[in-house]
Amino acid sequence: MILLLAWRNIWRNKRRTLITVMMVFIAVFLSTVMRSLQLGTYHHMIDGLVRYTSGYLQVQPTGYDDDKSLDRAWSADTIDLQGLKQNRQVESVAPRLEGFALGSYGKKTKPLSIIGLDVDLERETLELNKKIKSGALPSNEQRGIMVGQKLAEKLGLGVGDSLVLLGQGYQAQTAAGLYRVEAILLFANPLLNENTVFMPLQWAQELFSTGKRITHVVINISPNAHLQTVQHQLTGFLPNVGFSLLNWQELNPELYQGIQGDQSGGMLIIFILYMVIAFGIFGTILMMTTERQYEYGVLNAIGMRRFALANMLVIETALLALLGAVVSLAVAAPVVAYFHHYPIRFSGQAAESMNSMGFEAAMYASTDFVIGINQALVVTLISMALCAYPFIKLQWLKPVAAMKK
Amino acid sequence: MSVIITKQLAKAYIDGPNTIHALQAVDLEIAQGEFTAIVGPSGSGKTTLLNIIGGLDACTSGQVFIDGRDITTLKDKELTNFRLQHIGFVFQAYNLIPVLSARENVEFIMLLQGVDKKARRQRADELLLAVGLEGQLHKRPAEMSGGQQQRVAVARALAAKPRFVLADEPTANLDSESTANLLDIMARLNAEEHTTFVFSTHDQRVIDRARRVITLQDGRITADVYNG
Repeated sequence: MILLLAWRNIWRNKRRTLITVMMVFIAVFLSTVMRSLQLGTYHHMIDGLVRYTSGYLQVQPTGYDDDKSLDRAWSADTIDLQGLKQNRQVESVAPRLEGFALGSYGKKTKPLSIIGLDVDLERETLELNKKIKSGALPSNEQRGIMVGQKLAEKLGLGVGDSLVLLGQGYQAQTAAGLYRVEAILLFANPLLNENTVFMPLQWAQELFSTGKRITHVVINISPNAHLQTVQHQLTGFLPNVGFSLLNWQELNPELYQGIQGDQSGGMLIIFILYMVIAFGIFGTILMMTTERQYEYGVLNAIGMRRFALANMLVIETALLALLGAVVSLAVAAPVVAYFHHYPIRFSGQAAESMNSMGFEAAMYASTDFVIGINQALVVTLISMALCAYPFIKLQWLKPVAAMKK
Repeated sequence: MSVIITKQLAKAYIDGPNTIHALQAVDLEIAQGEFTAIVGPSGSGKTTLLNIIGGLDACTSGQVFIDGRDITTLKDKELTNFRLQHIGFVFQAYNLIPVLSARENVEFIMLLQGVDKKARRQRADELLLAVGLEGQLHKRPAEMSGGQQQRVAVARALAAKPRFVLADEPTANLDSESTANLLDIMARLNAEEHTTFVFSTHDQRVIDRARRVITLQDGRITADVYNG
């Protein structure tokens, strides 16, 4: 009956209840959509770049990250690849060879990152089939390459054309070759789209004269897995000395720090929003308490303990907060789903600026329901915390004095 | 046996440089089953006396014994529980919970006492039948007349099976017919269930029905008369 009483009490002043619910609604809705867009964009950014380049985790000779020399190439037999694959969070364990070369077609030349990968092994994990704009993926045995659409446009390449690659291979050997474009891929990330050439691992090893050597092993894990936990679990499979298992945050510190910085800004905006809403909710709680002093006096007089009175006020506030939160989550869900499927795409200078930093000029929303639940919980907890003042004040209630007001 | 005993009860208020003596050395005994009216002009101390007997207000000096227990020594929390278990209140302004129906208002006291739902419902219905409101169970206070609301308030006061009911000017806002109805109901409950009623009132109609009339003047008992 206390819950029923609290529920009916909040509707005694419909206008005020609706205004308060609206405040909570705005806070939870905006914070949910903002946070979903922020985290969705980060997730997309990280997954879209990390998966193809460094991997979520990477096994490499200690020090390779500071000096990415092909001379540090090593034999994949040195480590237990099968052992690494046994972890349930691991999606793929793939040896790669990465080098750099000049790519030339016609009169145009461009410095490029060359990534040699096991096409058959990584086809699924990297969803390469979905990236094909034209052509077909080469098999591991095929001496062909895959290039990003932007690179193809800049060099004027089409499927069937041959790209000259020229660089320095293992132990200063010359790396040179003519490679047929088998597929043009469309990557969301501008770095991959414009500056990277993918080719089957064995042909990259031939280009750079590394024999069967590789430069690193990319371990892609489920994006929802806890990175550091998996990293810790997999470290045991590495030889005691000579190798390191680094995560993407260590391998891409600029990206990680950029996200952290941007995240702080987003959190600050949400914090300010919460504070503004908190004042509104506090006003409602104060009014609810002050205008019902007489009633509280009567209830205390007939035997309702002050603690129970204060609890009723807390329940009323919680109901207001939850009502606003539920409505906002219901409205935010389709909005978030829409922006998940139809991301906000930037154009003009904003897009150029983001592309120049290696980011896709788009904002994706994350559909992780925990984001909305968290925002609803935060607003509800803020409301609960705001009840502390009337809660304490009610402990000093004197029924006769209250009924005189 | 006396349900209520006050000994040398005094209450003083400080109002700037002045001390107002609302009650002075009030010695009073009220026995089980009495139907008592406390009368006197405004400011004579009627409501103050009822508030102190009811544990709503503290006295400056003296003692109040309810069933032999000195309630002036009880702490706030104990007093609240004491009121819930032993005292029924009827207020001048009815003071029902506006968002609850008549039945729910009566049940509410029993809910606070921890009575189970079935027993609450049964007793609430019995009491509302006793005060002639069996057809108004689901009406909220705003949908009832003043007389009906006060009858719900009486039912609420009796719901907890109190040792006595304190009624502060219960008929002040009622018309003659409603007053007569209410007094009939309270007199019947007093006679049939032996419930002790103590009123503060100016209303001659109530005074005429009371079996004992205590007159207060400037915070002192100046007359204590048993009728008939």
